[in-house]
Amino acid sequence: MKNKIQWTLAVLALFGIGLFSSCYPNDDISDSETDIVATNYVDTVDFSRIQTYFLPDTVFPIKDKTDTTTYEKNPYTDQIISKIAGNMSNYGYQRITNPDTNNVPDVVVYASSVTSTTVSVWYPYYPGWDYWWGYPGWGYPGWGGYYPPYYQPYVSAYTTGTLRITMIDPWNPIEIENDTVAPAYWDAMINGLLQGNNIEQRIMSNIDKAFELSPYLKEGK
Amino acid sequence: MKIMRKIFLILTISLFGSTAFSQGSGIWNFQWDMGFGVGETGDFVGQYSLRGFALEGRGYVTENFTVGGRWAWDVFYENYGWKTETSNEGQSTVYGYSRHYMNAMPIMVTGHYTFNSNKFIPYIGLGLGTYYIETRNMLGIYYIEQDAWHFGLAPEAGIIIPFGKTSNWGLNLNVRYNWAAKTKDEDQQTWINTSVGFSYFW
Repeated sequence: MKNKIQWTLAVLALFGIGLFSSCYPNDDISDSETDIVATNYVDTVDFSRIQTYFLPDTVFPIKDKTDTTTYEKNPYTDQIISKIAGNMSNYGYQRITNPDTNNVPDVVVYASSVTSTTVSVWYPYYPGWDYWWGYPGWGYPGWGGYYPPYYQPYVSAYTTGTLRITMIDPWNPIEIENDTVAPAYWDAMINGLLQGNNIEQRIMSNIDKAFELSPYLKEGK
Repeated sequence: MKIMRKIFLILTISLFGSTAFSQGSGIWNFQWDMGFGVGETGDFVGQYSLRGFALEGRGYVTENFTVGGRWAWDVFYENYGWKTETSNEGQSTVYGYSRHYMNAMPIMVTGHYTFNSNKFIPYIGLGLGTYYIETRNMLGIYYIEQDAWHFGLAPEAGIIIPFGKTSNWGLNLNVRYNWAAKTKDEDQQTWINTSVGFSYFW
């Protein structure tokens, strides 16, 4: 019976080895394959009546309105603003760089970004445990002792970046939950791992993709 | 997947430790499960899968009829590449690198009828039990995962080709239809296995 179990388990191993690591095969993807581009728009908006826009030269940090932290300037600010302006121009929009009362843009288009770091810690075995501290009544001095973990924990971390491009109409505010806000007519969100040596290229390519996914922006131009 | 490894170990020990086959003879099957989704499962993961393993024990209760148990683990995967999906009546669009996964683990009681034959041992059978199914829809590094235990049935037909008149071993080929019923929160899943493996007569 013992031999039967042994060879049976051997056959099992023959078929089983590798399968346990195959729950999610081919799950290794490249940095660029982590990129996601999402767009949303309000279908009741007539984009043909929107001809001019104002685009600030800043990529704003995405943060809570109570957050007073000063964030570093996005290192790709100039490239991002330039790429957005280029796409808007290709779609027939005219940029107003110095708006005033005589030169009011139809909408405001602005860019914002945020990074997020996720840290995972995995403990492969239990940490060390204390032995008995001794039995005073028995005369033993006490074993005492703490055993450090046999295996160090594994730590992994990754950082993702999110870039948003939003078109708002500040001249026609709306009320939402007792807040007066400028309605957003179009929004694009680009997200991906912030690693590798082609981050700038991926950002530029994904901005182009966001506009490619939004052909309605070209209406009437 | 840790819970699946524990369940597999428990089943392995129970299947190999069992002496419940009253006739004192039966069949152990070790199979490489391949397959493909059909119906809506095929729409989710239609690519033919070579990743699967099945372990089965059968005991003769009559000359031609066996009862037993079966455990398997099938992995289905399809890479859809760069994909654009639209929702919210076209107002929302998402573009990303898309992969779909389905892990299915049937645990079944089986009954088979083996036909008398000089050279081969054809059989038909039915499995009745449960499927644990986990699906994952991945876009980039993000995914939507759903899992559930389904009631299931698995009719099959196959053939065992002994390696010789005196050999206890044989080649086992079969085709199986898997039906995992709809649950309160999850859709039904259906796929076909085409399996090849070894049978041991004891």
